[in-house]
Amino acid sequence: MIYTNILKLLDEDRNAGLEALFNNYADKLYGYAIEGWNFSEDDAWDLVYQTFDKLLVKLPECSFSNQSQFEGYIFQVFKSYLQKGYRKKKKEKERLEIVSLDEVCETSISFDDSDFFTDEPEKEQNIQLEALNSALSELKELDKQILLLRVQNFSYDKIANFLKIENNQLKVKHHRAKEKLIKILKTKQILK
Amino acid sequence: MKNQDTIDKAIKLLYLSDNELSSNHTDVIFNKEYKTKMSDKQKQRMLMQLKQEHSAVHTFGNVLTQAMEAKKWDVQSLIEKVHVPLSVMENLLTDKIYANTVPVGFMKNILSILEIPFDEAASAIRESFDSLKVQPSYNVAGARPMARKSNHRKTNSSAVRIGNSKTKALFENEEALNKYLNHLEQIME
Repeated sequence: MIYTNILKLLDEDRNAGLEALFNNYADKLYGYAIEGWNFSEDDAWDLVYQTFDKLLVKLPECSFSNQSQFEGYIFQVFKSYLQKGYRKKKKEKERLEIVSLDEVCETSISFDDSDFFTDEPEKEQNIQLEALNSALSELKELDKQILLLRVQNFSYDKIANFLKIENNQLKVKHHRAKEKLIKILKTKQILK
Repeated sequence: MKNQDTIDKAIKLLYLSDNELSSNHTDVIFNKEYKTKMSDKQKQRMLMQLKQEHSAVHTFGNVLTQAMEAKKWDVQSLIEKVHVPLSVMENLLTDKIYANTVPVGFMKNILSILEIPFDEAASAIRESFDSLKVQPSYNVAGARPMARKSNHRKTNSSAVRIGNSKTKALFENEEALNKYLNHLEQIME
């Protein structure tokens, strides 16, 4: 359904608008949270709920010029909850590791960024993320996109299709792009 | 290999925190067919909760009306108890005036007599405040404080003031509302 119809429905009949929005995006967001970011089904359900809860308040206040902008907004709202959920997961895992229960409490998100972000305050982490962003921008756009899409568990076929390139040796390209990034980070002394 | 994993995890964090990086990925995300889908039961539960959460609009007028209905009072019998002008009470009931134009002493009486808890009232007053704020000023009856005598001398006309000014009164300010509610909470304790 196109975005103008959804917004019109939301304006005229909130429940009908909600159902239209839900039928178009709920499964996509839910699947993306689980398959792309390894969230559990319960956590993914919560993330989708929070997103629609926010969208119902915010969408009537917004105006969009096209479908892409509308969907971009939905995704940004979802991503903000995804980020909170991801950080929460990470903290929970770290807490479990402190009490040496990591082996029995292995969560679906396996996150061990000990070299990069250990115990760093958020401000410090942001500086490191900025440095990573800067290093990424030194890569060719294609390499950068391959890295960004691959961390979301998109298959090489899907990535090739989206980037409109041949899948031929995409796995090797991905590996090389990552090596290049590591080299840049080492040059900048961000990574040992 | 360890560096490779570390980089993946760092890119994930960066991706989540930077909106620009994902700005052109909406297509690939929304056009993918995911194997994992919500069960019908999960969908129904979510839709039901969202509908419940968003269907009930608890404006102050609605809360007052419900409380009056519970006590089986009409407006006339209520104003005799709370000593608030009829026009003001009618405008409160229909969310046509800012509740914070009613002196806190009177508001306390209204809430106490109708047995409306402060938290419920405060949330409803905010809801009505927000909806009044987005209405054009000529639709807003309560564009001056209720305590001003001239507002309710002529009960037929002046209570509903047709404003033509684009300026905002002090009570239309969020900070003023917060102060009003803080004061109301204090005197209701």
